Amino acid sequence: MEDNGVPVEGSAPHGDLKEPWGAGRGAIIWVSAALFVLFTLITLLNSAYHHTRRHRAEARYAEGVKLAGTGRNQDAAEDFRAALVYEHDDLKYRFALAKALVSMGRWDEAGTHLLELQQVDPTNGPINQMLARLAVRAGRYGEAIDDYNRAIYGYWPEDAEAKRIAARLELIGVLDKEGRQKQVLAELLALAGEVPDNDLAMRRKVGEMLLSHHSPQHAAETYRGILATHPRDGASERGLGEAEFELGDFRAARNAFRAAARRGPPDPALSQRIALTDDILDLDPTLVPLSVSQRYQRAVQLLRRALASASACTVVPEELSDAAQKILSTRPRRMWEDDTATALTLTLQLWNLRQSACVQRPAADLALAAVMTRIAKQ
Amino acid sequence: MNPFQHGKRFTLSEGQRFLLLAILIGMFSGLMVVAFHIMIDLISWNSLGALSGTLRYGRLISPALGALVATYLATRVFPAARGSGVNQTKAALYISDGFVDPSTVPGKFLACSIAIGSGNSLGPEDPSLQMGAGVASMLGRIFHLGRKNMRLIAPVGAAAGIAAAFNTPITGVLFVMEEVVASWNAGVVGSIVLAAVSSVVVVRWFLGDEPLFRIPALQFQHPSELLVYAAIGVVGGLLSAGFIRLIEVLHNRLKGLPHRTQLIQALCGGLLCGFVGLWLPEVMGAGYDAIDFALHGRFPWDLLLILAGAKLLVTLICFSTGVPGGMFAPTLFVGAMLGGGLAGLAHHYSSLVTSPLGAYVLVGMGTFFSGVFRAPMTSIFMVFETSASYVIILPVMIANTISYFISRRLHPVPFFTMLARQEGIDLPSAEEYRSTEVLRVEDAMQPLPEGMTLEQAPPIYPDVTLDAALRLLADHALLCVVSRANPQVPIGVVSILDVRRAYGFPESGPILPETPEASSQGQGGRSGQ
Repeated sequence: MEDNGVPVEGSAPHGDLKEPWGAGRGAIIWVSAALFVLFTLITLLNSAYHHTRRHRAEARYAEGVKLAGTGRNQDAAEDFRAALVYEHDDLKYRFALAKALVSMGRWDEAGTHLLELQQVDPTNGPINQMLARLAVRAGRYGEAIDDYNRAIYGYWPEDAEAKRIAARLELIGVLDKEGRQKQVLAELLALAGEVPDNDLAMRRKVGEMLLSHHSPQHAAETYRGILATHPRDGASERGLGEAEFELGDFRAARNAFRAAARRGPPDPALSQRIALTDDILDLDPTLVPLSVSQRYQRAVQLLRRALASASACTVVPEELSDAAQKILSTRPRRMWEDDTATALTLTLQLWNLRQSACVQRPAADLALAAVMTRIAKQ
Repeated sequence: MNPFQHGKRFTLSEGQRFLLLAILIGMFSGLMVVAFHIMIDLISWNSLGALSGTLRYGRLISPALGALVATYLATRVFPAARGSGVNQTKAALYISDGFVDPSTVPGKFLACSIAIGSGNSLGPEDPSLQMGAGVASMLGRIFHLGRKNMRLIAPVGAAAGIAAAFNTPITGVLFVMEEVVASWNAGVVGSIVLAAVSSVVVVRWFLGDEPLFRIPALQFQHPSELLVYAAIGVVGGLLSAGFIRLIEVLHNRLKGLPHRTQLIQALCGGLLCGFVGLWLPEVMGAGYDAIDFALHGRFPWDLLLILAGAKLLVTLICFSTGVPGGMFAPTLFVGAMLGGGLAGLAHHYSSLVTSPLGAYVLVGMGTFFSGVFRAPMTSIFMVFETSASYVIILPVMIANTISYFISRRLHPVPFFTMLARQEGIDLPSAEEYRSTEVLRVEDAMQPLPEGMTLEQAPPIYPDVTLDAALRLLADHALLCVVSRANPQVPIGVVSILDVRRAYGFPESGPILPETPEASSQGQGGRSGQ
């Protein structure tokens, strides 16, 4: 039975082959021979074709690299595209095109190429890093963080250690921008563990970042680590000084600053830091060992400065001002301890008043502020 | 029993032999398509450069020269190679008992590789399909196939050819089933699948298993995007109907010109293509590289729309002036650029577009194809197969179906049917066949006359076709329609008069052969052909 002129189920293809493997044996031999010859010819043709394709693609790629090197990214991109037309699946060409497009500011087009590359090679460090940068640019921070992590733990064709560190630094920047301070600290600590001993600049940078991210303890450890391998490194001495300063160990900070000053050329900023630590150490009544009278003297000194600082920017309540003036104008009695405590209590009140009333902290108050912070902690 | 036993002849059943022949056809077709692909690339690299852009003046001259040489070959040296591959395959199936002129294969190979390689805006798929059919026909004759199997062999080769050209086996099978054979015929599905798979294996062996397009990661972001996809379908449908109409008019006009102007027409077509290519080299040749770059967001939306329009124009001219080559690749190009361009435009004015432009390029690719060729299943699976992305299937289905229905509504005659009619051949239209209702006894039966019993007329079930009833009515005046659930219960009667009424034939007089117009009006009766 036929339907629409086409033989239907049950009627075809049956019964009409006239002994194709019997009387047609000659035909089979001829067809097989033809297939073999055709296969051989096309194998040769295909081999020449692929050779030509590769050759042309490489030539255009090399031209593109040359142009990209001279900053002619638009022309370079055309060459990379041409290379891709010849060899569609070459990751090298596609990545080069993506890089050129990024340089030209064609983010979306670069993104599609990079996403395709990522599909093919998901653990490729450079691809993930570039995708992360595009995501950052588009404000997709979550995606960027994932891509940076893939870049850090992925493989890098060359100079892997330095590239991973660079990727982690970029990730830290993104996390910082996102306000994820705990993750920043975790990444910084991981970074501190990754940086090789001989990369002094990077180790210093890690120390600085730890300091700027309020982790003086880890910063101090990092600087001490540097100084263990590079004992004459003035910058690390100074960094250690800053870390100790933040930790409130002003004596250690002064020692480190002085060591730094000895190892480098005269530096006014460093001299200021030394002067500040000297001032703090002269002012701090909580330092040990101090005699009772020394402690009293420092408490009075502290009170005087707090009163001056508060009066400079706000109106000090009369009773507070009178109480302070009374201590400052009275000769000390025998009961040093009580007088010291009274002076410190008044100082604290004045300082709190100053803190709430005055926005800016004058440079002259730095030592006072450091000491008051330390006292408040105790 | 061991078929290899000593003294026993190793034999295969007819069905098995046919399947083995399908594999052979697939291998030959695959090899032909590999050579065709290489030839087009080599010509293109040397005439246009890799991006159709490096040799500026080559771009102006090359398509014109290519069109001239290719048309000369197709009209003077290999005249059998002219025309649409799909229609030639259908002609082999329905008219010439599977015969495809052997000169078709070298003719299509040479003419189309020169035409396409030199930059004319045509595609290699239809020629590949025709070469596959030609190779199959040759093999069928070498193996002395009988009439029935010979008729089937051309679609088997066609499937192998188109599957190899797209590097997509499912698409190859679907297209031939949908457009050429027009029915899911179990007798040929196995052979077509085997041929398509074996040809794709050969192609991948030589050219690698990379898909036609390298699709970037895509995702369907928000259901509101479906509105944009539907709009792409609407525009694709309108444009495809208009495109078929334009081809119909222009092709007809140019065919009416004196025969001696054929080469001049082709030369002009090539020149126009080269002229447009001076500014928009992306429209030259098949255009797959440009689609690939569009998928990767290379072009801004306004340029995408310009490219769609320019490609439409140069394809219309190249095809109508008779330059040999296919239409599949250009339709994919136009659809892709249209999809991306419309999405970019929508993004410009609304917030509906949230996916990357590449997603719209991909979806758009199938809409124009679906509208022009009226093969919605093929277009859906082609996008699915080339993208390997399941996420995209829903938008593709929506856009392609809308485009299909709009195009069908505005221009009822499908593209290939229109071409066949212009050539003066009346081939059954796959689309018309699909929409033809098969009439059954229940459509013609009348209420059971009072007092009538089962014994008075032979019984027939209500779901039997009217064709079958007609044969029984040659010997009986009346048939008693009985229930399928209980054949002892009569439910109606049917007479020759009822059958005539159901078919819309006059109540007396001879029944004339059906005209294509009558067929397209939804009447049954094709099975009698």
